[in-house]
Amino acid sequence: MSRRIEVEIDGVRATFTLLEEWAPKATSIIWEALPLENKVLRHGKLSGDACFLDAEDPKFQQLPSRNELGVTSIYKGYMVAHLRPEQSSLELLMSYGVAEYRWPDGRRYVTPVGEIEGEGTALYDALQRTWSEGQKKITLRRAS
Amino acid sequence: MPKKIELTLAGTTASAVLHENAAPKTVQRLWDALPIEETLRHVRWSGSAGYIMAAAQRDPSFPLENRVSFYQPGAMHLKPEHGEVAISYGPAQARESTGIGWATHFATLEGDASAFLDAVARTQHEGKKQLTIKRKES
Repeated sequence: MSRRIEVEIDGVRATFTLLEEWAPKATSIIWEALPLENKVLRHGKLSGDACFLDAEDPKFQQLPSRNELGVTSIYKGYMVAHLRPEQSSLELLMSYGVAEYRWPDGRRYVTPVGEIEGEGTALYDALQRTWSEGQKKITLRRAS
Repeated sequence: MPKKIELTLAGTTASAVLHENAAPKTVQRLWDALPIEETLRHVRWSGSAGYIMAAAQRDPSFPLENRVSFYQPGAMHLKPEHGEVAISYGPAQARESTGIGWATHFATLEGDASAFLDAVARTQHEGKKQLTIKRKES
């Protein structure tokens, strides 16, 4: 049985399946760090149709120093992580359209850690609204 | 005397000098379309900049002038294929989902524009804001 997490933004809830086969260490440590409550979700300014949140936790020191499965694309409905074990932190990004993880100096690699269950329209709308309405609060918790 | 424009956003005002020599066609087309009132949003691909979509400036056949890819803070750029007018407040570049693009650098803010540029930057965290561009009479 795959681990699943619930994401809540603006009263909208969606469930993601953790991609444990692709990123066993990263997903395990994220799971142990849950819940991540009332974090600030912002729209990205370099990566396209994607929003991000930063989270700190001593457990994140144990994150892999390299991506277990490195990708640059952030497909719609996926959650990816930029791992920063040296800072005991990570950045999580979710896409509602076309997105690619980029910095000012070009593409960077991230680890896919979750995939949305179901069609996800309400969550995509909430993500997109951060572009027009500004930052929002987000909570990630273990799904029952 | 160079042509100038006045920009108003979220209670702040800035002045910009139009680069008539470097981008004459772009400047004339913009000047003729003023005043412009549009929604300013934060860019999603290009970095530290806000932008409006100005329908009157959209013309895929319109030539680029004073062509740049990287935007300097306080500079204004037009991508005529989209009618996109961008105002950069920090490091930025003409980018799209497909890669790096080009734009016409047609104006530069003058004087202390920090309050205005702060308002542009805040669109990332606060959301869209209304921008007005009009001719600045000397």
